[in-house]
Amino acid sequence: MAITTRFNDGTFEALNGEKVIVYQPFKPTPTGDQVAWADKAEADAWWETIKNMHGVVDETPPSE
Amino acid sequence: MPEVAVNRASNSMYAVIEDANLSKNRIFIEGQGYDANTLSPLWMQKYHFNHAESYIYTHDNFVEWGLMILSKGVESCWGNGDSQSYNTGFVDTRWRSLDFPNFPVRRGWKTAGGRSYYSITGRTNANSGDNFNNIHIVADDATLGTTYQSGNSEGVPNAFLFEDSSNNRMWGFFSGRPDFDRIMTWTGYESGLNSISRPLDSQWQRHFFMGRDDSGFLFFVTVRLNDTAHFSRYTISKIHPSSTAVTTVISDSHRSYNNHYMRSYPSNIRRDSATRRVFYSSHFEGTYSSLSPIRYVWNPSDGSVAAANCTMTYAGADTFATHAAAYSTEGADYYNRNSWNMQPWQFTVSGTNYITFWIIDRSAAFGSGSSRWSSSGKRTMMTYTIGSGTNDNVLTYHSKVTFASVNDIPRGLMPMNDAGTQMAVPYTGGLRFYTFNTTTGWEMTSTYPTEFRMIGLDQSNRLWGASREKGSHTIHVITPTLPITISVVMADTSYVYTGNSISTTANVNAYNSTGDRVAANVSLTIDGNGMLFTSSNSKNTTLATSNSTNTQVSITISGGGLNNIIASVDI
Repeated sequence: MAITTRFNDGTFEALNGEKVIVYQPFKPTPTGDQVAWADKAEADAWWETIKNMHGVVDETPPSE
Repeated sequence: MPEVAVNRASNSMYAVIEDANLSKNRIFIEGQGYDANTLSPLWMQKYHFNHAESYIYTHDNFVEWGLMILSKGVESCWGNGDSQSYNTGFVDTRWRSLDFPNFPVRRGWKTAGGRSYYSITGRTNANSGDNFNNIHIVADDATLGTTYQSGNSEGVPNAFLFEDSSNNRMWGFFSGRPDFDRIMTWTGYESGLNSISRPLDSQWQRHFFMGRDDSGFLFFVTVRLNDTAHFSRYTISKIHPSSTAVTTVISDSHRSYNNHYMRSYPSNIRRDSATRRVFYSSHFEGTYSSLSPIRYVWNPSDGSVAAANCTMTYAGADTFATHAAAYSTEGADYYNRNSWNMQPWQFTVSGTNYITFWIIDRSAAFGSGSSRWSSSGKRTMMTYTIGSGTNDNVLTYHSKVTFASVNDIPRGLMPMNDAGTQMAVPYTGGLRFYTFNTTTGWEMTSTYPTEFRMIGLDQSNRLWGASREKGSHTIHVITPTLPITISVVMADTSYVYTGNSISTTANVNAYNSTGDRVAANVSLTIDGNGMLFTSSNSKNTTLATSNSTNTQVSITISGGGLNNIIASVDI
């Protein structure tokens, strides 16, 4: 299922179908300071750099 | 206790499985059950491997790695090449958790509902892409067979991180090929693996479990391995306990070093207070320059983490380079699937915190190990005193250990006591125990002459090791806390015999391998003809030493010449 994103009220979210897999209400920094997102474009650019870290959801476990 | 089992019959038996239901006090050695205290065989009690293991029994994982399941963690300590080969770069259960005493990671896990999970897991040969993972769930008794099992290459976890009964979730990790690393969670865990999610699922990265905050979020440090600059960048994430949505708390945390294929793993967590948990990175600054860690302060009450660069302090004009050198890139793989890493370890002695930056190389004896560790500077590990209070980002040089040769480089690390001041350290050719001394630093206290593929601790703090010196594999149990040192000190440094008997005393003490005075039954024998033990009026006596004060023995000198006292211990 394709991953989609949305940006509402300063919070960025990535979704797998209806399921929120990333909930990011602030811009993360190297120091831990939690800075407000400047805009959706900034959040989208950040997502592009980290999206490979997040995997699938609701997978049926394989069995022998 | 030394060697306890030699497997000559099969090359594919799981070496040791401690019963996840610890109350059963049972350990399976090559499938056969034993009483965990006495190691007496338990009649007709065998781990119930099922048909699904048919392919496992033909695989050589068990020979190569001597796999074990032990409740206080296991440590892989062997690889056969610089990268992309058996076991290189694998992080086993002991080092998956930064807070192991409070959040242990295990391959055997007893659930609140009375079931037990076992990850009967082979490791990956990255060259062939093989993975062999099997999950068993048993109801109460591992000798009676599974209620559920799932075998798969990459879809089931290697080990279990956390059981969250309130959200009906189990958490675990999968680490297969040197490039894969996944945090996994599933629901309905008492019956099986249902609706598996992989909130963190990365190539070229390693995830470390920090524990949970006060709101129930699970926190992880992710170390990125294949950067083209600023190697070992850290990301800290928190995962919602029910929705599994991920929020990044810290991103892109690093120091500035390039062209340097080091795995700079995080230290264990120190709990200063209910609102302050602290750990450190092992980053470097500059190219082959200086150790420059980052301090991370996690407040579990609000979920925040603050990062600050450490200030490194040395005597006079000294620098890191005065004492040590960062090891270099010989044998490094582009994706950093390498067998070596830095493993920082912090501990507390008498209210003072220390941190040692251990160097680990599972393949030191293979590939480019000899050039990677070619100088004494590269083979030197550093220990620092941590500043007090909130000045704990100031690290002051304390001491160093230089490993004599490439074969002396640690292949792994296993803390042996709660204080963290005693380490079991496998190396090429054997196993050593190191003890920390606040004046002189880490000192080697004893050696066990067997080279291990895996070591681990059971619930009784016994060290187990799987090796390959005989048969398909050999199992050892090693207890490092025997009274190995006996001290006998006469009341005076010299005596002048003038024809009259001299009554005097000697202080007798026994010390264990950590240097602590212990109670022991000591046998003393006089070698010489000029004195006797007063109480027995003979050359032999026995006494029980105290663990708190000198134990005195009376001696009568009745002649001149040289006399020695020979001591031995009844164990």
